[in-house]
Amino acid sequence: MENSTTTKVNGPVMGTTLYAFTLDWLSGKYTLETMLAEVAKRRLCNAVEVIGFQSIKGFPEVSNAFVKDFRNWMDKYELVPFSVAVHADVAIRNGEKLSIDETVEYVARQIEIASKLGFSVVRSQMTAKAPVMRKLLPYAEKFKIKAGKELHSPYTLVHPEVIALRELYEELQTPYLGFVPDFGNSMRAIPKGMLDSFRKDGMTEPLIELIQKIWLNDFPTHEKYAQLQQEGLALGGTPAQLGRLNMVLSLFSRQKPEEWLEVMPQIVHIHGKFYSMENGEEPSIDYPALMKVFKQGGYNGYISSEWEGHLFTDEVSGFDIVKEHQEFCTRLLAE
Amino acid sequence: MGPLDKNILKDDALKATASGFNLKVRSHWYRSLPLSSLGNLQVKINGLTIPHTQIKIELDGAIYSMEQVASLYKTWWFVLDPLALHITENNLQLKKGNQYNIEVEMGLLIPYVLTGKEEKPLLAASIVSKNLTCN
Repeated sequence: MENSTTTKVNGPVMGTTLYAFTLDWLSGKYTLETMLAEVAKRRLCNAVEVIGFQSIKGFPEVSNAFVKDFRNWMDKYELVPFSVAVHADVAIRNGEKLSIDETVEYVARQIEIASKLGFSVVRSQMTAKAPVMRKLLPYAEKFKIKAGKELHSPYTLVHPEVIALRELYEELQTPYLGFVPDFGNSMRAIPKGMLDSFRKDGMTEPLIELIQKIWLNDFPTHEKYAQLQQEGLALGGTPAQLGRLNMVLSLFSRQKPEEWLEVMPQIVHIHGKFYSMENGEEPSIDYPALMKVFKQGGYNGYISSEWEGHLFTDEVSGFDIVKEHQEFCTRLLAE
Repeated sequence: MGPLDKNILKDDALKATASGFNLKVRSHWYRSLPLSSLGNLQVKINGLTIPHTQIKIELDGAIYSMEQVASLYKTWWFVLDPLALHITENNLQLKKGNQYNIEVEMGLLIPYVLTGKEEKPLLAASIVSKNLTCN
């Protein structure tokens, strides 16, 4: 099987991340093969993304037998291995953080395995900062893997660390380093299910009103944490409650859809984050606007349907809601 | 934290042994973590706290003390595998078929989510309490 970098995609095309099936995976009812078989059986979009540390025991150390099995499953179920979500676990040692070179080594090993398994993109994280990305370039080139830094709340395009990356990419001018926008960065509302879960956990209404007020402020998300801490404490919020409210800022930002145009040539993959589907639409994310931006902006690549409602509900089937989301997005892309 | 907390204790988690009981606990995070991520683990049975010195952790056939855990950053805890806690407890004398209340408090240090000015790993904390029938 060829590395899927050789697969040409015209325009934005939907894909499937196994992360959307986290509830099903953790239930223990599936093996990796039976989960892939389920994706095929339900005719979900066939470009597949996996989280290495979720789906593969021992990752990133895998046997040759596993590599062979995995490639066989891709063929058998007619799936395209597209992206591996890799992690930059810089705080893995309790105490001293990994150095730049140690982080490079940690992520490079995952890039190598992603390549062996037939993938063409890895999603990296903001804990692998610009100096790490610079040193990862030779590995990305060697293994023919595009390494995309995930732009996930609170890392919007105006975050200083994102600006440092944009400057690095400007300097290096390489197709092997890029970005993976996460639609959680472009939301129009906090999902109702999240607010309901706060109420269910006994959070007071003033605290819930506070997070909504702060979220709607027009300054960058990463500058909102301090205000939440200060005003939340004044309202009697406990550290555990404020930690839970922090999740709103760490998951959702309000970057306008058209702002993605600024980095369009550097986008190597997209996480089509979503939380719920109501009457065939995602109420908290302006998908019609986003799809228009990526289609008209000339993006040629995949958008993984990334349902993350498991953070506040286990009453939804990941497989069912991903199907609905892919039909919704495919319809928008055809307009 | 959320719905994934329900994974921590499954219905078949409790088993009586000659020296106390075994308790299978599972992660409430979505991905595998090193064992060093287990930043906090407290176990109570019928309201009684089990001291750490009475807990050994079995993972992939190896046995670790609670003291060792913090240094085990190269020992991977696969997200679908339970930790088998071997607990020494002489007072209750658990009986098969009886029900016991088990409370587990689990704090996981997330090595890629850094918080605060000092950039400490996020402590994802969960607490679950469940009446379990002893096997």
